[in-house]
Amino acid sequence: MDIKLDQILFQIVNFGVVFGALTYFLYKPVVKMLEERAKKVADAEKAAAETMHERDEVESLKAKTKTQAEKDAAKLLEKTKEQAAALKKDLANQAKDEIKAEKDKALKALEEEKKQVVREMQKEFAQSVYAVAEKLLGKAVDKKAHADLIDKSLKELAKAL
Amino acid sequence: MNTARTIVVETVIPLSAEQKKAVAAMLKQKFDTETFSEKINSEILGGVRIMVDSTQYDASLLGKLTQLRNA
Repeated sequence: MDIKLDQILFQIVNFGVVFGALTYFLYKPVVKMLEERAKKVADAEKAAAETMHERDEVESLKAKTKTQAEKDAAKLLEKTKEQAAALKKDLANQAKDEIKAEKDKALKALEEEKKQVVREMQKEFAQSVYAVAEKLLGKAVDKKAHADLIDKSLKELAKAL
Repeated sequence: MNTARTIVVETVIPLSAEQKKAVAAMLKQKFDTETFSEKINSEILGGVRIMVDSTQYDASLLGKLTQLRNA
């Protein structure tokens, strides 16, 4: 087999041209595309990481806020319960006082009414006795009875004077 | 100084002699006088009512009944 120098040179030049063309038209765009894609992936990962971080922060804040809100709500509930208990106690005391006052008032009114009834009964009784006695004495008492009454009255006056 | 008092003894019937003595003795002891005038007053119903000036000493039945009525 003959080795021809010009053939070898032609093959070398041919390879160099093909290599150069492939490098220029295929390798560089592909590398550039891969770099851009890698950059996009890196950006997306970074954005995802930031989003995850923000989400964690939001979750943490949410949990913290929830805990604080629960504490505040518990405090408020406790305070409200205490106020309600105090109010209930005050109202109960007030109601008790009012009931006692009403009861005392009613008892006093009843006592007054009772006294008034007794007074009226006494008065009516005295008036009846007075009327009957006046009638009887005006007609039926004789001189001896009057004399005895005078003696008795004189003794009373002697003691009273 | 003993000032003159106006004393009126009211009764329904006239006082007996003994009753007059008793009245006089009582007045002497309390008011230092035995002088009094009698008045028959059926309105007092019974007993005795004595007026010493403007002061009344009431032991009459009317007085007692009035006291009872006003009680």
